[in-house]
Amino acid sequence: MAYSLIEHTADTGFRVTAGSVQGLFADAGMALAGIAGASGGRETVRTEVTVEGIDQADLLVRWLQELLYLMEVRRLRISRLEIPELGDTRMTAVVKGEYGSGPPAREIKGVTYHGLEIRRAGGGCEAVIIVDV
Amino acid sequence: MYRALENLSVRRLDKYRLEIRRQPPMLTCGVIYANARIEKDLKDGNVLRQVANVACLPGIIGPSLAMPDIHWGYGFPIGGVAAFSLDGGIISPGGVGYDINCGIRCITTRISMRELHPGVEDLLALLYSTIPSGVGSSTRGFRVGKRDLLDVLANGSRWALKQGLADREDLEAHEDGGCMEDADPEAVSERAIERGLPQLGTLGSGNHFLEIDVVEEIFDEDTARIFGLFEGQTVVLIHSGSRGLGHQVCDDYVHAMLSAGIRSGIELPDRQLACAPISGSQGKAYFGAMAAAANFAFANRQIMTHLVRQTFERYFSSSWERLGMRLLYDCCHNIAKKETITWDGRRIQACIHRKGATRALGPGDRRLPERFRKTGQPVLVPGDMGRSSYILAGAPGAKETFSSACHGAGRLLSRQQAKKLGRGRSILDELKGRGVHAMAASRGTLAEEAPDAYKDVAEVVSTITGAGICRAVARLKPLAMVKG
Repeated sequence: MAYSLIEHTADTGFRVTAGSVQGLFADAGMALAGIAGASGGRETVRTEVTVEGIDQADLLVRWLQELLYLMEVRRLRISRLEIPELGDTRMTAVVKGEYGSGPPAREIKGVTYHGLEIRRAGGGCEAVIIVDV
Repeated sequence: MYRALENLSVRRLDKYRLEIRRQPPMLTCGVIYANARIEKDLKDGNVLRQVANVACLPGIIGPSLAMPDIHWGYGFPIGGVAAFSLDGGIISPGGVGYDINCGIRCITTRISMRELHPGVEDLLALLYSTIPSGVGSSTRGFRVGKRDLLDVLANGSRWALKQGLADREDLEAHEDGGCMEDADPEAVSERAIERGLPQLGTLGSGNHFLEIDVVEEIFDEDTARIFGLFEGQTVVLIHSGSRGLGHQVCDDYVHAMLSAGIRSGIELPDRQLACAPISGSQGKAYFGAMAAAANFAFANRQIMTHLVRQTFERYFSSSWERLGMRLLYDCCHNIAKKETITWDGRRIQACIHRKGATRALGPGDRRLPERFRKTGQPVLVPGDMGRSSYILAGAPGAKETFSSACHGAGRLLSRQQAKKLGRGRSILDELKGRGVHAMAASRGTLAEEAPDAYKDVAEVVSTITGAGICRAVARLKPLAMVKG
């Protein structure tokens, strides 16, 4: 997983790079869990997530918001993400992890679309995501 | 003379105002309230671009405005204010933000700093143990079921009144009497209700806080008397919002409006500005859901007010009424409201978006309770943890901002920069050195919220008062605080 935090005055942003769009979605999810302090742990829970959107950038935001819900409300700590299916307007993911005893260490209010773009370059791809904290 | 900045042309209009020149596809110009010192902090082009982006949205009336605490947000800038005609204009969830009706209130007391000072740390510890704070903090001391929550969404602080958690005078000191009438709980998703249910009566995390302050200086004796303020007085500030419920409402409607907008070919300068005609079914549904989330936030802050009063009662062995714990005012920050404005000599029904900005009604406005009709609305401007906060009053000049003003100091540094600066320092000790006691659920939050991460609130206040939008009434100094 490769992600780096970027400067944003009000909120938090991160840049994710991966060799494929599927990898980008998985890494962005793990980055989000890392920022929320809800990553790691055992793989005692397996849940499948299906998301639909208008294009892949929209799918990425909706996918991350599903993860936020799982972390905040279901108190899931995330250890592994797999993206078996990713189209232009629909994706399926497998989320593995374990239920924690409390909420994530850091509250993330929402995943925004601000400035979001999935860029493909040099055989890989990259996205910058801003989250409201 | 305009100068180019990030492909935008900016010129200074006067000591307190900058203008971003209208250029296609902007429908109007941008006006930023900034003195020369604040202008220096605007070198980041992102924030100017955000003011310009808002100026591109259909139905905008007057300029796209930004208050002096402006900083880079998402969609709208933080500090952004824009009015859209109810006839042909839009409403944008991104123009309100995730934390719908995040807001601040001030509770005055009859307690002098001298009476409080010896035991302020004990009182702080009591407040910290009583008011649920921090990430995912949960309701404590009472249970709320789904039926109660729907009642909260429909009635806001009126629900709190029915429960004995408020009195009638409290409701008068809220915008809209503590209840947005257009609230539609049915427009709020099950997921939003699920997120909000365990969080009613909680502070949350990030920049949310509960603070004990002392009135350090009065600038306007007559207004201060009407506001119930005196030098050396202890007051309490509570800053919180609609918690996970509001976050989910924003999510739900940004998605819905984005999908519908793309299907109908609307091009947006930033997807976070997804919007819908306010008179259409989607716009109406969002307004109803947003108003319901705003009511949640009113009730949330009112429950915490009740808990603060109970804590003071225990500590001082006296009733809150005897302690004079009156709610001065509750100001909404992230909200859209239908208001009648006068622009170019015409009276227009508009939807005013305030994203990180506060309403600031001037004297004579009929929406104000009788006791504030002569003074104008109390406007609360919290600073950072170590410096001052201010209480202002809405002035006649606020008409040019659709009765809006700054909501705080405004961030200067990103959270990462603030954390880097905080490495190897004890923010708690530094605050103590300034006479401020703090308790926080997270040390990370303390570093991110360190005083040097924020602009100097005095510059922000001198700009908004210099521009004639507000008058300065009093300055507060923090004594003790609970950070989420």
